[in-house]
Amino acid sequence: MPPPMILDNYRPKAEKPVVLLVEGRNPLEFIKRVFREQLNRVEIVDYGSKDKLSRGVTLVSKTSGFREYVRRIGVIRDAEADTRTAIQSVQSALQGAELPVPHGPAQMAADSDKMVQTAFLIMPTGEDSGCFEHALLAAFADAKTRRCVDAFLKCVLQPAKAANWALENWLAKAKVHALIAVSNKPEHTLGESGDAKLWDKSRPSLKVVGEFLDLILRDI
Amino acid sequence: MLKSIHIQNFRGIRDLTIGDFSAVNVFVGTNGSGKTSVLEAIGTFLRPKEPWFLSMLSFWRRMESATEKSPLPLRAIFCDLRVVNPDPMQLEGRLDGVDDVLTIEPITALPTVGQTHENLAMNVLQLPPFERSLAGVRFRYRHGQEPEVRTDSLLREDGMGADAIWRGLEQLRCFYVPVQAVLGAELLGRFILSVNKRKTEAQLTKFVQMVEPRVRDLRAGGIEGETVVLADVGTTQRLPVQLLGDGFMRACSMAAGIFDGNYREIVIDEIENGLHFSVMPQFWRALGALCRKYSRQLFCSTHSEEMLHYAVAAFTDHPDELKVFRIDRGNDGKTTATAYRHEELQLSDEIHVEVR
Repeated sequence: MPPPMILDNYRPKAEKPVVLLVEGRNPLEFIKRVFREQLNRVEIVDYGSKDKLSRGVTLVSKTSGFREYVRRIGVIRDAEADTRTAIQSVQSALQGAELPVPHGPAQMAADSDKMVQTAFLIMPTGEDSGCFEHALLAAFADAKTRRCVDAFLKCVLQPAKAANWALENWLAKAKVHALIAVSNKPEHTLGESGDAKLWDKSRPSLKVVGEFLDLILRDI
Repeated sequence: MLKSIHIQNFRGIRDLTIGDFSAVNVFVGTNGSGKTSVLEAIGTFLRPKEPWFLSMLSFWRRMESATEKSPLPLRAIFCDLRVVNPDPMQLEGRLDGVDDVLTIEPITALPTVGQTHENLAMNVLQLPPFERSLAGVRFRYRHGQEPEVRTDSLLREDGMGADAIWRGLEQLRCFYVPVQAVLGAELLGRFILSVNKRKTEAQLTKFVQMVEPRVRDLRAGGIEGETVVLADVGTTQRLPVQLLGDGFMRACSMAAGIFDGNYREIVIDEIENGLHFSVMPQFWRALGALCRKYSRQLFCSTHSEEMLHYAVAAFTDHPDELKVFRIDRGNDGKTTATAYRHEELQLSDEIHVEVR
């Protein structure tokens, strides 16, 4: 196993008042680029996948200087098959790290001493199953290319497999990549596409992310 | 096996409890956070039979050895250098299931003419002189429910005196590898002879070969009254081990502690010193295997990201045997320890969250 490269998450001490935990490198890069102006005071950490969320939250809460500098933590997680399960997993991860636990998505919870506050967002909408890419697809809902990409993937996938949430997520990711390829540079990742002015933050499906960032940054 | 330690008023540490030690314990933290002080406290707690160890701790920090005329290096173990009405220095630990307590108290005297040089320094710095000079220390040790034993160790012209009445506690010993020093040839020679007697030299050779693969064996002997340790590296003449470099000497020091048989706990400050990154994976695997085989417990510090990374990789099959503690000194001067389990360390490697 090679030693890790020095990446953004490496900080000897917590330095920013807000930490945002995001599921996966691509959503992290995307948010970093598309919502750049809102993130000056936010440390973004990729916790990898849903299985690592609990350890990731604990790790972040153990960072040197965490109790001194960090005032808010935000967590973004995919709903995947079931929003309620996703909510419970975030709540359990926060509880395991001895952090305040919000009752639901986009709500703020505070310690009794109000030292650290937490909030979470379940993608794509906080109610529907799915993943981050579903929110991105929704931003492309009325684009002409979207219809072409839908038709292309439908054709490729025939005969269709039984629909399930894993296939739905796979399809959403594949469609997003296809849309990026035809609308921007084919070699670009989701994160890199964030620089290409391809995304309209004011579209409702992306606006929830911006509003969530506003929530965790309020009065900071 | 040391399970936990509570350190009070030792060096810069006012009050710190570290619990649930594993077989291999790695301390990380920024410069000046107190990693070495923690290791020193563990070493002191496990070596109450050797009062001179306290003086050596300062020597290894590049101060002089404490003597009657120069007590400052010994004074330096007390918080804020206070020896008059100091906050009590106490080290409490759970060792082999028994709670032990070591208390160290200063014994003071009025400064004499010979003891003025630390006060001269204070004068130069325009700081108030020390009203009392440190004449020595009193150790009090309580092993479980047994009656407390105590002894005084007074500073003499040539260092710290050990007191003959200090009895019991023979089981307490630990092997300490400081950051700047390695074993001298004489001490190393003694260890090599002991290892030869125990017929573990093949394993010792195998261990040091990680750092210097040319070494076939090590032999200790005397030349003109001086002990030398010679290594067979395939040349026509055996070479003094010092010529093989600091990394090799440190590996020899560690191996000596592990194979000697008298030590159960090994303390190593900045374990990465002198080690090339390419030997780190097998170094950790070997250390883990030896600790397992000989029931040794390891306490070490590191600044090295690579060393930490390879430790995590080496203990994948024995995750419970590795624990990492980050030592922090807050803005309020308070020292804290944050423990990391193997699965957390693995994730920190993966998602690049810094634990050091």
